[in-house]
Amino acid sequence: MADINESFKLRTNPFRLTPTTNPNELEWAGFKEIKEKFEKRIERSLRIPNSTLVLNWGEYGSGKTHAARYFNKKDVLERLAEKAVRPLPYSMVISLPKGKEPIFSLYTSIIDKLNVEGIRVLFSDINPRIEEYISLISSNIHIQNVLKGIFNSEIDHLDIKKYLYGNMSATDLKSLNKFGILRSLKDDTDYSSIISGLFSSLTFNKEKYSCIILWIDEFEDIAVLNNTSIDKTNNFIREILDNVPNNLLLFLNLTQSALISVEDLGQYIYESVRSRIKERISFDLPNPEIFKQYLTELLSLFRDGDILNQYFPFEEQVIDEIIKKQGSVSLRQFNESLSLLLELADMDNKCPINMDVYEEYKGDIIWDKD
Amino acid sequence: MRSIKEILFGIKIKSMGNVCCLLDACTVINLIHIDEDDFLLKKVKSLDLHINDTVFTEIKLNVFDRLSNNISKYSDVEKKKLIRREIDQKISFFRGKKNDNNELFKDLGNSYFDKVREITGYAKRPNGELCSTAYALYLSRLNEKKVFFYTDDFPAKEFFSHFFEFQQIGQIKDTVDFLILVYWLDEDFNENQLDKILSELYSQYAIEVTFLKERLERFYIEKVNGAFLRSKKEVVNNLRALINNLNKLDFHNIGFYWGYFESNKTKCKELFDIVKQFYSVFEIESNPSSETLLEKIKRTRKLIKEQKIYKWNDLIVS
Repeated sequence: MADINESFKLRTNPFRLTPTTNPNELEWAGFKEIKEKFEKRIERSLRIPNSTLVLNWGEYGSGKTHAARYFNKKDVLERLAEKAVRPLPYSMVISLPKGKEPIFSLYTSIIDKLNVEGIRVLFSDINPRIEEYISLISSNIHIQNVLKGIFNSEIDHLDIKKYLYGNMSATDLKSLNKFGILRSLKDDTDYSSIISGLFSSLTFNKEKYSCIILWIDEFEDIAVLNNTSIDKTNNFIREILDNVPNNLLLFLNLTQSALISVEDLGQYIYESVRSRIKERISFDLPNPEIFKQYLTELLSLFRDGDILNQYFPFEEQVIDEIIKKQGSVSLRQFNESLSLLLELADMDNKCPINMDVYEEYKGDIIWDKD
Repeated sequence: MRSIKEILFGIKIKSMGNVCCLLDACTVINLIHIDEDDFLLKKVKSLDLHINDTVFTEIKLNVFDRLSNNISKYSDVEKKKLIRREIDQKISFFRGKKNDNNELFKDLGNSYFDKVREITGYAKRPNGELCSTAYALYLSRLNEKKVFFYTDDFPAKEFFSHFFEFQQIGQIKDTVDFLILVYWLDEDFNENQLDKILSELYSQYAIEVTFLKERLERFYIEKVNGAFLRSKKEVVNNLRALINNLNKLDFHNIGFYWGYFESNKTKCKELFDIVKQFYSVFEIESNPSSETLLEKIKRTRKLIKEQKIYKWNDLIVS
């Protein structure tokens, strides 16, 4: 087997599609316009007070999930915050749940990512003001007390987390009674009130966090839910946008599929939500120039050593042929073909990857989806 | 004094038993999972329901498979226990509708199912669908009644329909047809409730399709590299084709992939382990000229909003 580093002058296979667990390995290549749209949108939301709903629309494998993960990276957000001269946003990516309890699942995903200890340290200097603010944002005394409990170091951070998850026994709950927490959280109204209150508190005056960025990925799965869950999901989005009027940037990633077409959209995303969409970012199928630009940038990000041409280890003719052969395909499919071509050539010690090498493997790497 | 309507209504309730309904495992499992607060269970109580012994065994084996799809992964142990208990209670109801095959054999001989298998030319080993077909023949002749066999297993429906027709046993229908039957038989079952239940049925299947697709795609992304492709090219080609069909909701010949991954499980056990968890998806198979169950549910939901399904009370001039 050839050495991918030695022969191909690459640190690793740049096209491997395995979702990376290490955010540092997430890179952005090409697609300058889309990148700028997200940067502008996020920067704007860091600066302005208004909450915004954005719909990211595109075919399967067009890069929506990648965009969510990339713009969830701390260093990327730090750069944008620096540019906007605002504090870091509080960002998270969650997938739309497919079970019968979508709101409870969404709520739990958000609580999973909540670092109570870290939040308390960060907010310690403005704690009294946060408490005052919480008293203003909700008329529900119970919800107010739970929200105050999240910021209150007198309550053990594990106890409050247990309480938020609904795992606290009736006996343990007694220990929270003195903080005005007298009952468990029990229904979707409680869950969405806690989420709304939490988002508003975290972005209070944009002092500690400038904005909440919530990406709901795989939103197209709303089409597999039953009527009740579709209602609940729409109501939840409408409610958090109404109850968090400031400092929330909500991205919905929606893939067009056989289950959800443009005509069906109204059936799944109600007018009450659609009317709140401020911007649509479309992930169109790229043309050959965009592909090639993406490819050169991606290869350069993984480059290790000097090279003769910008497409190395591929010859440009091979890239042109793959693009021609595949026609209009998603970025994912393009990556799949190049990944397999690279690995097969690597196994057979073939470098550079010229037309002869391509001809040998083309039956294995071009996957005709039609 | 009772009104004519009430008298007539009373007569109708009694006559609900005239429709002999034989249920397959998939239909019963669907009914269990789409039912909320025993709404459907109460509605079907007065029907003349039958389940074959073998089918009931299949129900017990598979009814909990979808549990992980239907409840949140975050639900606590108590909640999961409660849902299991509710399913157990529903199974108890259907247990009361099953026959005893040993009793059947006393009348018809131990080889009765094999005999029907031979007559129909069914190549698979005796399963729920074959036993139900044989039992339907028995029920129709014993009670001198037409039998409606409700199954969502498209290949079985395709295979046994001719036998049902030629022997004048009755008809093979699906869960959608069964729900509509229950709807028009019951004056207290309204259109919104029917739509809600059909949406739940759609969701049951659509979630299975989505989960299967996700699991196969994850396998493809994580495992299929150059080395895998080189050593298992045929497996990769079939995996790609299956993912592609699921993406397009094209269920034509989907049973082929089940057969392929089952007979090649030594080459890739992991893939068959994924596929076998979603057996109901492979029952949605259709041929190019007929609609899939998912399409039928969608069309029916649209249709019942545009056209009325008449109940007894709709016919009476008030």
